[in-house]
Amino acid sequence: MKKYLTGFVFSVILTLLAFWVVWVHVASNHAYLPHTFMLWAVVAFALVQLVVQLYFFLDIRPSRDSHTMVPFLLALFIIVVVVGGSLWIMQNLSHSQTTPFRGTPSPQNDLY
Amino acid sequence: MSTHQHNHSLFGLWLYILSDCVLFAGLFATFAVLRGQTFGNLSGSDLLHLSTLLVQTLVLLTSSMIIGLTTQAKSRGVILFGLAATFILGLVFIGFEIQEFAGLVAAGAGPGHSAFLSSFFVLVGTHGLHVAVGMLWMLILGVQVWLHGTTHAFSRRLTMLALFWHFLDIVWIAIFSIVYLLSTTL
Amino acid sequence: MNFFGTLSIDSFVQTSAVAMGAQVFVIVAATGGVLWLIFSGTLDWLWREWLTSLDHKRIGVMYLILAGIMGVRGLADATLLRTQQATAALPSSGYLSAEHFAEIFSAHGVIMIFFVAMPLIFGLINLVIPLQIRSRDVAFPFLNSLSLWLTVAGALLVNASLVVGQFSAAGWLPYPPLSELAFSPGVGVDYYIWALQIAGVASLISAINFLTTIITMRTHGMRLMHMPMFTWTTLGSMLLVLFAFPLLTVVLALLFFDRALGMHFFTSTLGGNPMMFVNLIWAWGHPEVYILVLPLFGVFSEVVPTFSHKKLFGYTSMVVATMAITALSFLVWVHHFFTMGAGANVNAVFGIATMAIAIPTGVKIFNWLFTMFRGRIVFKTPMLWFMGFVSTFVIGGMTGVLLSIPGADYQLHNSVFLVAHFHNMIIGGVVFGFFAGFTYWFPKFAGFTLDERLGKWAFWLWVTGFLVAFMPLYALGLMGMTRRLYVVDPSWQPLLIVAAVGLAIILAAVAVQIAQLVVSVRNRERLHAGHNPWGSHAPEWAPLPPVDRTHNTGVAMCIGALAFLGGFGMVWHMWWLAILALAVSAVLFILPPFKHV
Repeated sequence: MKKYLTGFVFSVILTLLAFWVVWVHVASNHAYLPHTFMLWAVVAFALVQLVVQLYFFLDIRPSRDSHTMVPFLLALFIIVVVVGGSLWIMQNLSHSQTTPFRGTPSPQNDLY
Repeated sequence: MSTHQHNHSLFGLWLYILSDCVLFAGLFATFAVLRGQTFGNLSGSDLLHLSTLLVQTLVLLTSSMIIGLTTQAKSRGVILFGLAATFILGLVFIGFEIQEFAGLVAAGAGPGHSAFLSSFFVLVGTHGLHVAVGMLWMLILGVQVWLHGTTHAFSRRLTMLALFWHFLDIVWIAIFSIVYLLSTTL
Repeated sequence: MNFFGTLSIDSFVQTSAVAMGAQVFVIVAATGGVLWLIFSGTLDWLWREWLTSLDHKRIGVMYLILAGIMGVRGLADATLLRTQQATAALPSSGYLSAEHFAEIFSAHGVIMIFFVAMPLIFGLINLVIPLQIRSRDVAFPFLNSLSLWLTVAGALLVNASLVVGQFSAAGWLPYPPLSELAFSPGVGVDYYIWALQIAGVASLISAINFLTTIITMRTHGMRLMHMPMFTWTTLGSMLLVLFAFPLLTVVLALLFFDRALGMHFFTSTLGGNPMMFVNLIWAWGHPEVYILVLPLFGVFSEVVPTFSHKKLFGYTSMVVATMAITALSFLVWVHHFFTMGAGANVNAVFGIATMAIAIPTGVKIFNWLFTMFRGRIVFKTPMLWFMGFVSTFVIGGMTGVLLSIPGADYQLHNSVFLVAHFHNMIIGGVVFGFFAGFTYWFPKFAGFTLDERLGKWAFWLWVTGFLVAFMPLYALGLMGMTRRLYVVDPSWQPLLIVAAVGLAIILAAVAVQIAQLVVSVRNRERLHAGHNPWGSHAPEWAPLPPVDRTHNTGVAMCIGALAFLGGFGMVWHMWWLAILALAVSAVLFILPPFKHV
């Protein structure tokens, strides 16, 4: 009972913080906070909330049995590899292209 | 059903959820790669409506807490109430999403209009589809507990449903942060 | 609104004589089979004892039968490909059209990987794993049956394309933009997508099932580090299925959205990125290779100690190597597309990771060899298959390390050198490994051994046929022949004829194997084996207490049939059929728990 309420309160606070940062950013017309600060703030709040919910809602904690933890850690590893790897590879590809990949719609492009 | 069955099913569901996480990882990777490819149509920051998004997020979060509390309940009435509350919150969440999608399609920004929009619709829509499946599951459990009361097998199924629902809320953290909030950094 | 979607009478018209022959053959074989079942009176027995069975042993056997039937189809495709290339030296253009040739090589790859190799390993796993960990059955017997029937549904969809419409002509992995609607307007790619989508779900369910079985149902006292090697490698393989197949599901779904709903994930317009398809599908595709080969590494780890009369050398290092391969196989996928244009950093990192995978694989090879060292080796057929494996697989491994160097890969990419390399790994590793395991475990289930003399004949024919068929391709690759050519340069013709002869030898080997089965069944009295004919100490050979008959259910088969119909509906845009099939399956799936709460 208590763990769900604790998790809930923490999650609400973290959600509000993330929204507040973005709200300040948007309301100040992107002037008040630097882009990179906002980026890392949102990512950090999300990661903390992820841990909070895993801990309080899903009961994922280091003391859990290895049956639960080992596949979980493997999944984390694979998610990081697939998302990180794909971004790195695809970024590298666009970097090598002589013409920028982003284009504007034109009738010619619609041929394919 | 014995406690053995309990362990099997819960562990099996856990494996399925982890595998589903990789499925979402694939969709997130696609979204991240394609999110700049707006091709003159709407971009991520055009889709951001902070107040609606906040309501949607809090609704799903609350439902995740309620289903968690429901697993602790003993009486049939409380469980039915918990399931119903979670179901309604899920319905509200889906309602917001359908409204958003319909608005975009009406504004000429459907999933076929740019790579960014395709990846947006499919990523968010896949999550929505999972929510809908969870709601169907809730409906089934509701009928079961209505008919047969709280059996041992029922509480196992309720625990499994709660696990699934918590997982959907965790995926939503990633969606509202990466898809919506971070769109302002582009 | 069209009731039949895009399906029309014209869809049944095949353009070439060969395609029409295949169409007629499939229709006659299917109708003949069904009629025979009905009128011979075996249908009832089949339904009761096999089709509705939830027994892991019977499900295992049915997987093997599926693999056998689809193997015949795959070999027929291979025969068409080899004879076409051997006869189509310019100016001759052989007997197959370019389009038809492309369909055949696509079907050959898809069938051999998804509907032969996968069912083979799932068959072996089903038969052996519960016995090895000494559990009564798998964790979820119903889901086990469901996996089988969904795989069958996928296989049927591939074969349905012979009768109605055509199959994908875009290769075994349909790269966009070729596979997009603009360039592949037919239903071929859709057949591909739905056959694999359904079979992929089946594999995922199986992975969950066997992981749960291995983790939670081992016999009392069998700790992880007491598990037999086959169980370990199956664990690794199923972990790979669990984490790789969702990526296949994603990439096929996105391609389908492009084709059917006009989205732009992989198109060349409106910001789509075809290279993302290549990236994502290989993030699944490379682990897939290890999904196939890992269980067979486990088979050899059972066969070699048994026939060397020694304990397996370096059990712990074997376990570590298995898990290292499992993890590393997720870190190498770029080596399938070094030439796509990523920078030197990306290619170097993935090239080095690829070479690193050779280390744990090498550890395994040496462990097997050290197990044999100073052992009392008996060269029964399973051991011969190991010898065949170790000598051919090492060649394949070497050419693999060669290909992992990005610089060399730029020269060899998409040449038949690559074709030779992966056939080297899959025939040498997966196929020979399966034959070793099949001959080894056959007496456990049948009560008699397979005929040794014919087995040895089959072995020597297979090894010879394999070498004659694929060594020329290495040479041809270095001579500059690219893969998937329906007409070839005359200077390549001599070696292509040699390769075709190699295929003929392989076909002879398969014929001998069929004869071996028939002869062994006839002579089963003479070949009668005790409960442990090879004198193995592995747990699966110890007698088991009789298992109480598990109950039967036809629900899984019905869902399989619905999946076929639903897939067919998706292919032909009969949305009502797809939705109806999905809804009925969902009801069938949901209802049982209501009965016994």
